Amino acid sequence: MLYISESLNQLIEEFSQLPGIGKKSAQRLALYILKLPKEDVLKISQALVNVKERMKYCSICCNFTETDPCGICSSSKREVDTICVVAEPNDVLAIEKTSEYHGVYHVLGGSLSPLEGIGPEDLKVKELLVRICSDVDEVILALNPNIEGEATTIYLSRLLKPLGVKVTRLARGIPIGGDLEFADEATLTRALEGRVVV
Amino acid sequence: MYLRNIRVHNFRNHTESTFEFGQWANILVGENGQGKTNILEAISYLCLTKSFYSHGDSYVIKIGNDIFEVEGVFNTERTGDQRVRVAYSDGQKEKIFTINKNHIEPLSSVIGKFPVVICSPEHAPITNQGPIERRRFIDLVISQSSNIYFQHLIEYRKILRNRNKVLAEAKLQKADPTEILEPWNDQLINAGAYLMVRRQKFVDEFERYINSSYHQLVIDGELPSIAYEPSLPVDKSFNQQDAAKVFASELTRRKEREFQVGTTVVGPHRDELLFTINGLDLRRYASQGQHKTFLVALKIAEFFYLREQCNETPILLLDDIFSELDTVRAANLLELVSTISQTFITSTNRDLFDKNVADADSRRMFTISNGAVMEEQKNVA
Ligand SMILES: Nc1ncnc2c1ncn2[C@@H]1O[C@H](COP(=O)(O)OP(=O)(O)OP(=O)(O)O)[C@@H](O)[C@H]1O
Ligand SMILES: [Mg+2]
Repeated sequence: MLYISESLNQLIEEFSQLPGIGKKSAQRLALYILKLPKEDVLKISQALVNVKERMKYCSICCNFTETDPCGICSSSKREVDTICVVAEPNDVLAIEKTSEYHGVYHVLGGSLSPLEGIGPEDLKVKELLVRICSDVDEVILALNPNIEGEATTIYLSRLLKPLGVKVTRLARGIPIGGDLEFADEATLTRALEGRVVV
Repeated sequence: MYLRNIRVHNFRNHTESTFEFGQWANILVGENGQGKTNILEAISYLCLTKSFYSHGDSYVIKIGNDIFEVEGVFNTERTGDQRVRVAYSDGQKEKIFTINKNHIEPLSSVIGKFPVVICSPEHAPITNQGPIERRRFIDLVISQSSNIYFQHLIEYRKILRNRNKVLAEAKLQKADPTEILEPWNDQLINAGAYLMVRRQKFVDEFERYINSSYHQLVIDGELPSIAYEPSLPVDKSFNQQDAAKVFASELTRRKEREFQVGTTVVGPHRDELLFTINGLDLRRYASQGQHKTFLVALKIAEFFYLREQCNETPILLLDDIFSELDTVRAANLLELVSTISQTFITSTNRDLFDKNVADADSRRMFTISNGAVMEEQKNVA
């Protein structure tokens, strides 16, 4: 669709750059914005600018934060002897939702992916290594169960093990409430490979 | 399993064509370039989510349109009727596959649900060209019978692409990639060793099928055989651990070479499958008719293999394959396929079918002309 209006076209163009937004969704969002009262639009645009201006990386765990160090790293309730390494800030949110993890995090900012041009130097690997000291007992590698996550897990465990720290990874298996019968074969195979003694 | 019906919309030269198919032989006749193969291609989309020959969904859309659609109902042995639909939009660059209105994702999980065996002139390279086509053949057969194999294959290819990227980049930068390569080596070895074991097992089992199907086409005098020739120097009977060990040591041994050329030089992506008749390499010695016979025999063998492995009888798509067979071989083939499963046959020459499929009740004949279809009356004398 071609709109006469230059500014509307530009907004659609900007929206369609966002992840998961196609041309059609971008059009819908843009038309929605157009119909909003002006003060609502200002609120949205101010919110956009605010995150950009206020959010920075935590100097310890490299997660996004407004205060440095972040809430988790500066909390006295967290056990600093355990570091859980994740790819993205979203993964921290997911693990926090469980309320079962009391250690601290390290956000790599991605996974190794030569095809996308992401190498170790593009991730917060050095920042992780400097955190490993005698106070750290365990590093949990909680990366995605795909080839990029796996490569990152292997790469990090080779760097970490010589430092004398215990390195673990998440188990891969059948989702809770899932029926064995309906588990996909790849998941089942992985679960079999990772079986434990009862 | 059989396909009850199909509707194709803006697909190649078909604007809107619908078919009610019979459970056995469905013969599509018509002159060259009328749209017969296109219907087999549409069926291939329902079974494999893609064409069996062209690469690129955009070419399939009827010129001047933005979207094609194929919809059909499979009657399956395991779960009864399944309405399957695939649509591709060029504008959105999006392919949507649904089974009974449920979105199926990823597309790769469809493979094996509706097993199909396709034989077309496009497959001739399997017997007369380089190893790529033979690997593609073996991979598709095993993948349709085992989704686990297919997942490993997809994974192996992704790992390989990443690993090759690391090697190519390092060559360009004249850097030592050893450290960055390691995580990819481990994964390549694991997935690769699995593929090798499965391929060897498949070839061992398949030998029996190819023998029997070949002899249904050719009475005697010719003994076909296939052998797996892995790119890695494994012992005669190896298991996954053995393969992994050999793979690892070969990667170490060929390291310098890999750095030089900037790509992965060993592994199952370099495997070969050797076809012989009476001990002679098909590629070097066989006649055209023997090539064709071998190809058809491979496909029939694939059919019986999948039927046993899948708990679902595959459908057969035979595109234009009667033309180069002598009359005896053609008649044998026709008799064979008319009774084992639902079969879709294209041909420019209807005479062969008028003569041969004696039980006319069991077959349907469709005339295709300029992207439109006419079902002929059964039993025309
Ligand atoms: N995207 C497309 N849009 C419109 N027409 C197309 C498209 N792609 C192919 N065609 C037309 O489809 C026809 C080919 O159809 P098909 O391959 O099914 O022929 P066929 O009946 O199998 O012929 P043959 O006997 O020669 O194999 C050609 O006329 C070609 O121009
Ligand atoms: Mg054709």
